[in-house]
Amino acid sequence: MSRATADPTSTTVVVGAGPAGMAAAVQLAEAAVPVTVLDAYPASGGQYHRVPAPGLDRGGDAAASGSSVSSVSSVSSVSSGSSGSSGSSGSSVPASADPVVAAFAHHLAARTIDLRSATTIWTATVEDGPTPFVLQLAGPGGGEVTGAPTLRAASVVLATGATDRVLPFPGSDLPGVLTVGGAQALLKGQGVRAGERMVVAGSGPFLLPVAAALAEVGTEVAAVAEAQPLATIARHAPVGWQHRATLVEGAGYAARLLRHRVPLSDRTAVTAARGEGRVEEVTLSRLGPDWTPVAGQERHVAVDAAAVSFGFVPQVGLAALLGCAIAPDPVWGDPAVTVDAHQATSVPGVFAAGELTGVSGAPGAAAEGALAGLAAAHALGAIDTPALKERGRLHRRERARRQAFAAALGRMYARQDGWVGWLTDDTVVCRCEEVDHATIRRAIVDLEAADLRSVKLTTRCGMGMCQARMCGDAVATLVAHHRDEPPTDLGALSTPTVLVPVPLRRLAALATSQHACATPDDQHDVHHAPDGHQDVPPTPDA
Amino acid sequence: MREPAAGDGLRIPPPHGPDHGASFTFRFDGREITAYPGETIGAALLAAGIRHLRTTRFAGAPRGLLCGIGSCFDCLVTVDGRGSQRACLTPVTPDAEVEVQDVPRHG
Repeated sequence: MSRATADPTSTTVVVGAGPAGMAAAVQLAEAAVPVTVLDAYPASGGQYHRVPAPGLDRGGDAAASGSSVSSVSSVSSVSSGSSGSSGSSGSSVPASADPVVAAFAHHLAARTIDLRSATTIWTATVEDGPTPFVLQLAGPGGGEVTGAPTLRAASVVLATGATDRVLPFPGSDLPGVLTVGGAQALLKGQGVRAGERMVVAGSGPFLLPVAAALAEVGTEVAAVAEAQPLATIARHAPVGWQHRATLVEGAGYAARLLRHRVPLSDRTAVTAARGEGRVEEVTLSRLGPDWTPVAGQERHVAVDAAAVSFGFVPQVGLAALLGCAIAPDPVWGDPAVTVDAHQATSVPGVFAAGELTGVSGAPGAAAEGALAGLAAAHALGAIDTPALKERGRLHRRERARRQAFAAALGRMYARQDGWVGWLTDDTVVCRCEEVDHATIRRAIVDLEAADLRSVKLTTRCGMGMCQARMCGDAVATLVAHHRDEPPTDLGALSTPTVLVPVPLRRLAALATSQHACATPDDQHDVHHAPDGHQDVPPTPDA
Repeated sequence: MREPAAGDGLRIPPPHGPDHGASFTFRFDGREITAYPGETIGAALLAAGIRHLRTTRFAGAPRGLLCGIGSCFDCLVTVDGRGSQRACLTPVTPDAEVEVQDVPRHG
């Protein structure tokens, strides 16, 4: 049932259907470029435009089918069904006033965008020829996709977003301790509160809207704990009329918290969690300006869940696999995909937009996405240079404004490394491979591991299922901290060839069908077969 | 501090929450659990007060939902004999047999 694209040699693939990916796909469709959007989730929109999962909200579905917005979700499910999206019954985009979301839905309905939901790329190669990008697709759980399992593309727009930054603390691996983004996904996507009585902690402007949303649906938010001193946040707050709306939005969340009597503390962090089988109590500690816990200034709070995150980390795995240059982004210092003014990466034909190029929020991501889509269309000859300039004008202005705001946020919430002071020897740092702080410190101090690859080879840290997405940032800080050096480019903790776990037989099939990509050295990245056919436990590289 | 509500306490009622379809049941380690169409295994178990989804292979430590969006692979469960399924992404189906994943599963 897979719909053949008009001209496969000029197909562009957009990876990710959040604000950046949707905006890129819309520009490509409007330039009449055949575009396929791959999205890991059953409903598009990304984390920002997340809506209840397909089939969850009967009222929403019913209301939708009678109103003008609903054409959005009903039509898009028709469209994605016909495009062979992997079996999601009600693939939908959010009904929204957002112009990008509306335009995306319009193009799905017109079948000028081909959406494949619940589909991820498990590996990719770059070859010669007019469609150099060869993408291998997997369905949910690493399983089969219903449409074609391999996609060849003339160009690729990466819009893979970001994940919550996780910093460890004693007990942070207890069930009930989750990320702030995780608490929000449960709330918006599943209509479930993460707990009855919670603390929301970490650092960054994202804590406030999630805490407010939890309080408004009946969760007792016992504390919102921001690690950064309020004085630092205030000192670097951007001034100027162009940022006023965003600042007012932030003040609005603070007012909502006040209304629900949610106490907000700065210079405070969750420094420990305890409980039998799940979190039952957290320790909130007062911090110094560099986030070092101040001895004797702790209090204990009974909770059944805690949401803790320290901003976001760009998701650069696929970009790295395609060979795109990655460097610390100037605002947050995280490894991010390097792009030029046209959102082009270092690999010709590969563009990147949104959080993976440096976190700047959803509106900035949408502007970058539009520019990436225009540049990809221009590179394929679908629009001329005057059109590229004219159609990108407003998006360039919006991008500049949002990046200026992100730069201010980066100063307001600049992360400190004093959090290392709340680790104990047995604090789990790498959750997948269960590597504790003492083991990692020994590798750095005694074995003189000076970069992330050396730490990985000596400790197995970062070799697990998540491929260092959860611990990579923390380990980079630990290397700098224990070597007493300023953070430098330490390389990557994980440079996977296989991006998500898939059954070994898929690798084998690939190896026989094309002289392909798997070398024996890659096997440590295939951890175990999700469908139970065969297991490859992680083995050390060396 | 309020007592945690039993049963559906963590499901948000309309208008803030979804208007659920007809409930059904599935089993988690032999225990009968209520779920609604469109829910993930992780959400249905959380609503039933169950947070321990996986037991680690070295320390035997309990783990549950962390990132909630399919990135961390910490919420792995066994579903109808298929190991290493992410509870946060996998939709729950009527009569599914879900188990705590305590070792990497061999087929």
